[in-house]
Amino acid sequence: MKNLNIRNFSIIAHIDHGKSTLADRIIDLTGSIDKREMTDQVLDTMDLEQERGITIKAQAVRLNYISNEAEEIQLNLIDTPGHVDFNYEVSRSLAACEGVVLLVDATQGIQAQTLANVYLALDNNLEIIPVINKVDLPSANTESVISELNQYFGFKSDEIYLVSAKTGEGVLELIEGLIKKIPPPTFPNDENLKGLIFDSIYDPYKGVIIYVKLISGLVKKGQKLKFIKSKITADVLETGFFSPDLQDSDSLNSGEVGFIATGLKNLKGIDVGDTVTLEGQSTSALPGYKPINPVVFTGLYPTDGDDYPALRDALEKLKLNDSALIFEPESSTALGFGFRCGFLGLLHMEIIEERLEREFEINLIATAPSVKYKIIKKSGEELFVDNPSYLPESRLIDKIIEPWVELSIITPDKYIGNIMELVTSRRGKQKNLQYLQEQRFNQDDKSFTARVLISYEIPLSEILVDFHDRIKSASQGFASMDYEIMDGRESEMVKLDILVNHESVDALSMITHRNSSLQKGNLLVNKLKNLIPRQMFQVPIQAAISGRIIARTNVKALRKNVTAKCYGGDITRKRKLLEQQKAGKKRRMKMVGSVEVPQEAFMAVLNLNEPKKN
Amino acid sequence: MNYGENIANRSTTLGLYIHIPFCLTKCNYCDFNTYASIENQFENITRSISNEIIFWGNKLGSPKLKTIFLGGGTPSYLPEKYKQEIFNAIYLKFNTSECEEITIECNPDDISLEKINSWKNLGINRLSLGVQAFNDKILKNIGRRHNSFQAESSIKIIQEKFKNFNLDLMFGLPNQNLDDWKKSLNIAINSNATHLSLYGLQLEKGTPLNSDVEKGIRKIPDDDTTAKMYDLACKTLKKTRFKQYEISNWAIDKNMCKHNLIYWKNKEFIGCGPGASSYINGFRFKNIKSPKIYSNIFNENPQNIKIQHRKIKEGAVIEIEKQTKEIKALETMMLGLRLNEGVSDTFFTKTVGESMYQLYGKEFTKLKALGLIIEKNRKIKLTHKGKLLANEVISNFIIQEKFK
Ligand code: SF4
Repeated sequence: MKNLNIRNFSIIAHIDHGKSTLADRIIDLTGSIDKREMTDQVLDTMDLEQERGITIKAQAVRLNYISNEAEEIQLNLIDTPGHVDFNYEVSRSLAACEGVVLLVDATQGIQAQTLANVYLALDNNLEIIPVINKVDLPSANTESVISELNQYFGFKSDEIYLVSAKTGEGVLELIEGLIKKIPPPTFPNDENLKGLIFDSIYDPYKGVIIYVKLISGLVKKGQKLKFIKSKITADVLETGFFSPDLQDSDSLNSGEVGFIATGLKNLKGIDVGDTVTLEGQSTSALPGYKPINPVVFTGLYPTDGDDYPALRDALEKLKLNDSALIFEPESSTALGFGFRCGFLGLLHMEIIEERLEREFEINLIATAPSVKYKIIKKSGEELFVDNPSYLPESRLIDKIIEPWVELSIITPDKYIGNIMELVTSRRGKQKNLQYLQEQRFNQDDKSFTARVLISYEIPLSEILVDFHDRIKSASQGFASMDYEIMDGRESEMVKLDILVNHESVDALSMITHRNSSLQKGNLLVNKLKNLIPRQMFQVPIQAAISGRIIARTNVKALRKNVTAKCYGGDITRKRKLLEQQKAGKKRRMKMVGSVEVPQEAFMAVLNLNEPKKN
Repeated sequence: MNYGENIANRSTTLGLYIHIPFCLTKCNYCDFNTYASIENQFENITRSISNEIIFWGNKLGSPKLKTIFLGGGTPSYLPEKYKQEIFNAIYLKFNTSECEEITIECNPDDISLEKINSWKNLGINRLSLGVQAFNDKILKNIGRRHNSFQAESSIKIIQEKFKNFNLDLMFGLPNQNLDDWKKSLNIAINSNATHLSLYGLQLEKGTPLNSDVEKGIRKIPDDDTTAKMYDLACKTLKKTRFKQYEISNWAIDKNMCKHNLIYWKNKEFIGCGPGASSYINGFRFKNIKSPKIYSNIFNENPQNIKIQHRKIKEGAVIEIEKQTKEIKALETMMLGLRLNEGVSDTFFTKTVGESMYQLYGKEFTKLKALGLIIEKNRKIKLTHKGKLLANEVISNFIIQEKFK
């Protein structure tokens, strides 16, 4: 069966290619949202999303549109995150769609992350509608982007829509086109309710609200809901759709996308990917989603130890609608009590850190990110280590296996050399190089250029810190990258310890490849030397591997900190100044033995650059 | 306002500080409560200061003064007739029969024989001259209005009439090197001054010099060089008749500044003028800084002061603080350690009510191990190294619980 009047679709696009603007324009042209409610980028509701111009959480909006054929069509636009870290969110959204709009910037062409999303859409058997945006800009390179779409994906030029989301040019044609090309949702001829949960949120009044796509059946207020896998039951308090705020409606029908408020007070057991039905009905579970495994780990510590319970609460709250986030308590001699957290990638990590600081106002210290290593001990015992502190002594280790990724980079070919150099310095190996277009004569640098897609194999640990920025600067900002976890390989990894005043600081340890350990040790001690303020005594800073010092430097003793005079007997002011300084220090500094170490020092490992070449 | 009981008719003698908030021009490093181009307020503010003196004299029952200190700003810049008015008020309302020291701060460009004579007539017996450096380039760098020739000639005039005078010198100044410092220091040593104050430059937020340094327009010597300048001064002065008695102060024979000793020894004093501080009966309090608001308050008949500002409590006081035990302990260390004689447990116990070993035993052990303090005959003193790190040392005496 089909519901001919529904179209469910997503827009997939690289960051900045204009996804939100296009969504806004579609919403605008269908007249679904009052002009007054329109803020720019309606769908990006989190501050962070609007600021960074990215989408983190999937959002959905229902639009009612009268087509040229005078049919009333319900368009469900399901927004997707553009970044690979949030691929699980993308795959969720895509599972609720029958088609996607593939949006490419006319000034930039296909980007690495676009590829991954297109593959996802293909995997889901979705109709793909190619669209080139920003064709009105003087810098638009529409012809060459058409040739890319043609050469790489095989789209014919007459299939490609040319639009300007900003001015609205071509957008109506696109809406009409997607109504024609994207198939309406099909569903089995089945009265039983079957709905795929693709997201959930918690509302203090309505309890758990699940976002569903109904495959079959109908659901309305007052019925009893059953979660097939978790076997939880709940009342249907409210049903409705997204406009983009939650808008209640009498019922939800097969093929529709909407929400169900359940009144459940506990999110435990509410799994995205589970299937809902009604009590008394019998239906089978949908395939659901691939389980998601974090690949990047870091220790998060509150700057102020008193904030530990607040940090725990905040992480629990974030986890409610971010099942990819994992955390467990850990402690560090230098930093006190905190949490080991696992993330899907670096952006995911950054977003969570930023949300903790912004939405929950907790100041954090994050330790160097680490991947998960598989350790095989000489005894044959196997274990996984994602925190350098837990790496067994080297004499006990037989093998260390680290995760490798397949890295895709799309770049104008003139930067291949720079990128190669960077990738090989990080132990990467080139696998493949493919031209995305014919070489053309470029007026600006009077040479033939074209964009290429290069794939590499590289250890994940090598791209954790400061890699994306390096790719950008190696290509004057033109290259884009994406990666996918591939396999684990044996590597010669060592634990680099940092000693401050002869005491090893657990929060500064890291696992690194033997070949770069000397360089990293040197960089780190010198960086720390500049970050740790002079103390009342000389502080040696050393880097060591298995107890052997490989790099060292000293923070010289402080020579002078004295107030010239207590002017006119204003003793209170001077006293208060000292008190404030001390309180400020207490806030900013962590005691490592008898050394005051500022928070920035613990972050030093996060941008441990090889000195930049210019 | 309640300063405790029996504020009047006290037996102890007081210090009196008078704040003169005027300068002809403002030096680029200075964040004192003083202003250029408000000469039109000479009269008002003088009257207000005199009124405040009368107010306190009445309130405290004409107490005995041990010292008087005219600071600022530039007291020498305030025309003589106004100073006369201020002293009239002092002599009228305070008992100065046992007053040992009356100091005026002055600037080299203000000195003339005529003025010096007039100061003598006011009863002033000690001068403090803001020389800062005997180097024209450096003086210009910090926006001083005099040059070294003026400084040297003013010293010649002063020494005719005053036996007891101080020179202020500064080190760590923009573009100053060790050699410059040595030269200035030697000129000062070889003058007939009986007292030297040597201050390290402190960059204060909001001053033009500070923003120049932040922007990189001006450079000041690094901490190591500044520390060397201090070391050099200490070493050089050791070979002279000057004896160090405080972190920044040296005196020949018994010519220590008695007024400043009142501060360092936690004794009582009254401050009059905008922004002036006082310490009486276990309370520290402070006047409002703005000369304008201050003068409005005290231009009224002192019997009849109107409360014009919501923060003002009585007189022009905007801040008042009762000394708790923790504060007393910290301040006793903070002030007492500045003195070469250090802090004795007897004095500490008398002031705070508890032995310093009980409060700070652990801190003493740590600081001794670091070579920052020494202990002798139940007295704690800063070592030479500790003097340059005085703030670090004192921070150890802040009682943490307060800031949780
Ligand atoms: S003369 Fe003294 S008080 Fe006046 S501005 Fe200069 S340093 Fe400040």
